Order: sequence, then structure tokens, then C-alpha cells
Amino acid sequence: MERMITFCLFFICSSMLLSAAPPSNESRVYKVLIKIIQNLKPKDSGFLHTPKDITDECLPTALACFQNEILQLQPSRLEGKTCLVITNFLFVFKTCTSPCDSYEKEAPKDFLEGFTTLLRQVIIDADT
Amino acid sequence: MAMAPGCQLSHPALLRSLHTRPAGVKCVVFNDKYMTCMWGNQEDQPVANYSLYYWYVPHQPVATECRRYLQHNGINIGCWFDDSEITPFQTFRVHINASLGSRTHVIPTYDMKLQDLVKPDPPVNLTLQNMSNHQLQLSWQTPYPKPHCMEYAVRYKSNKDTDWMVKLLVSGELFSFPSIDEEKKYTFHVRSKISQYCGSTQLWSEWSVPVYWGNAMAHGECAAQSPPPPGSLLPIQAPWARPYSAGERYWVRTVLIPVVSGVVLLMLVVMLVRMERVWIVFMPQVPNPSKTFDELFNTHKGNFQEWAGVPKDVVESFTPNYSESICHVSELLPKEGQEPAADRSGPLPLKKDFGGL
Repeated sequence: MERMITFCLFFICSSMLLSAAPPSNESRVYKVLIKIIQNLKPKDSGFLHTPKDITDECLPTALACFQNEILQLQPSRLEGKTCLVITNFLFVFKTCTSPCDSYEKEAPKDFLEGFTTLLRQVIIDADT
Repeated sequence: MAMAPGCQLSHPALLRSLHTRPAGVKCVVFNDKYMTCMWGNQEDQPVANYSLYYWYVPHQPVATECRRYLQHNGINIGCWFDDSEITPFQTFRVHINASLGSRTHVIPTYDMKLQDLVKPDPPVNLTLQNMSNHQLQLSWQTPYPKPHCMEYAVRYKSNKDTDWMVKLLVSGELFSFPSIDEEKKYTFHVRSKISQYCGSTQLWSEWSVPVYWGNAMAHGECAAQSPPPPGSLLPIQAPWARPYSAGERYWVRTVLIPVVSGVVLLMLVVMLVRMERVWIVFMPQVPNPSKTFDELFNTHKGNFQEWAGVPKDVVESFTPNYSESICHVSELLPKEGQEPAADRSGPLPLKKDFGGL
């Protein structure tokens, strides 16, 4: 029992320390991603599920959706950057009711535009 | 689905006048504090009863009528939205009815993305600082609630130049002017825009209030003030306007999480402390005998039996009441001619030194 309590204490303390630490430059990753997307020249064929009108609780789902769908465009420059660490989505109390395939399929150009919009939605709420 | 009231095409005069002007409505979000949507021009707006309905696709699909109309000569020409009615990153749709008598006409509109229609307020507190080697540093602040979204443009000229020099800054509220000429007087302006990382907009803010540098009094150097912002036609400037929040996620992160985790932490610490097995590790009971033996040394002066409470007859029974003389015992040494005792067989003679046993 004491071990459990001690472990819980340790966990809470370390997560408080982590959140009190100076904010990491996570929006820098998103900004780099926006620049890469703007430089992509996708082909005209191949329709992809494009999340839009994304509410707060659906942000992680939408981000994962974009990351998966973009692999079908096969842009090799994005491979390293799509592994994004989403730390400020830890506490989401409402569940998202829109999975990836519930969104309509759009042309690659509109898909990339939608991805950029989502990244902007995340950057705008970040502190840096 | 949208529940706008039924509208049909009618009234030729109304139709003609409305078709000759650019169709649609123009919405601008001012510094994330309020928004205006204007339809038509102000001068030759045909007389009609205009009403605006708005909704968000798909999450707030019920059409709401505008709560604050903007008027010119008694005719509604625009609508004023406060920050609680502004939701960026959700498709925004408006529907404008123009009715005259029993006939109604719909002004065509289009879907809007409010995050791309933001016009920030101009930068404030422009400050010039003299650095070493004739360098001048211009710094400012932005009244926009999210400074990390801003990009800036600085324009300057001296009293001897005819044209403005414009420099674009992608981020940061600092501009270094490389070489200052002591003879000239310089004027600086700054304006801001939402960067590509927060929106897709071409809406620059107005140029800021100017700041001057230089002692030279040149001819006609009174630099023109930047024109007042065009929002002056608005009859309502809400003093209570506040920047719109980023939703409940902000409240959760800043208030709920720290309070809840603080309470849980406190509870766990209290539980841990109350547990004997843990407490004993942090606060071990080190025995302190000094008090226990205080009586022995002070009251009974070292007499252990008295302090221990041994009864008197037991103490006395240990004291002997008879005397015994000591019986000396010694060893008889073997005579000459006899073999040493080790070679003999048979029991040894009983001559041993028992000592003082």
C-alpha cells in the first residue's frame, strides 16, 4: 500500500515538474511542417480524407488522420517530421465522435490546405 | 441544417441595384476582439429592410439573427459581433435578406474562415534607442493577444527622402537601423499582420503612430500622422470587449489541472505520513536512556539492587555468613630412577594440581 502511494506521489511530482518546466518549442516543429507542406507539389490524382471544422477534442484524431493519409502522397521529405509529440493533448475530457474516415475525401491540394489549417489551429493556441 | 426564413427573388428595382454592386458581404475580425460584417456601400444603399443570419457549419447549425446592427441613415448596413460570437477554424456562413414591402431578396454570400480575416491593431509604444557605432534600434509592442502569430513591416524615411523605405520582419519586435545620419531627421512607422503560421491573410494593420529621431529642424518636417483607423463609422465600440478565449482547453490547463493535482498530492502526502511503517523510516525512534537511569545515579547513588527493587532478604542471602579457609593443594614430583609418567601403562597416580578450585 505504501509502495503504491509512494509511486503515485512520485508520478504526480514528476509530471508537475515537467509541466512547470519551460515550454518546449513544439510549435517550431509545426511551423517547419507548414513550410514543408507549402513547398510540396502534389499530383492531381488520389483523393484523401480531409478533416475540417475540427473542434478541440478532435485535434489529436485529426492530426493522426492527416499523418496517415499524407503517406499516400509519398512525400519522402515528410517522413522524419510526421512523428510529432503531442503533449498538450493529455487532458481531453470529451471524446471525439468523428473518426478519420468520417471526413470527405478531397483532392491532394485541398488536403494539404486542410493540413496547414490544422497546424495553424495548433500553433495559434501554443504559447510560443 | 440552417433555418433561415424563406426568401424569393422579386422587386426589379431592388434586384437591379443590388446586381450592379459587388455581391456579398465583407467580414473583418478586429484584433480578435470584435468583428464587423458589412454588405453593400454606404452611400447609395437602396432603402430596404436588411437582416442578417449567421451560423457555423457543422457544429452550430441553428441560424442566429444579428444582435447589433450597424446603421447609416436608418438603414442596416452591417452587423457587429462580439468575441463570444466569433469561433475561428469553423466554417462561418451568413445569410442576408433585403426586404421591401412584401418582397424579399437574398444577397449572395460565401463560406468564410474567420482565422483568415483577422486585422490586428497597430503596434504601440514605439521606442528608439541609440546603440553603439551609430546604430539605432527600434522596438515596439503589439496589442494583439498572440504575439507569436505576428509579422511586421517597418517603414522609414528621413526629411531629405521622398519615398518610404519598407522592410519586412518575419518575427520579433525589434528593428536595427544600420547607419544613422546625424544631420537628418527620421520618421518610423510599424504595422503588423497575422503570419502564415496562424492564418492565411493579407490584412495588414494600420500604420502605427510615428516615432521620430534627429535634432535637425528641417523645412516642413511635420510628418503626417497616420490616418485614423477606418473603424470610426462604427457607432458601437464595446468597452467590455475582451480577446476570445481558446476554448475550455485553456481553462482546463491553467486552473483545473494545477488545483486538482495539488489536492491529490496533499492527500497522498498526508496518507503516507500517517502510515506507521513509513513514518518510522523518516522518524526512527532513537532510544534515549538518560532519563531512565537518572534515578539510579542520583537517588540511589549507583546501588543497582536498591534501584531495581530487589527485596532486602534476597540481597542479604547473597552475602555469605560463614568463612572458609583456603586449602592449598600441590603436586608431588616423581622420584629419581622412576620412568617418566608418559611411558608407563596403566592409570596415572592421582596427583594433580587442582589450583584454587
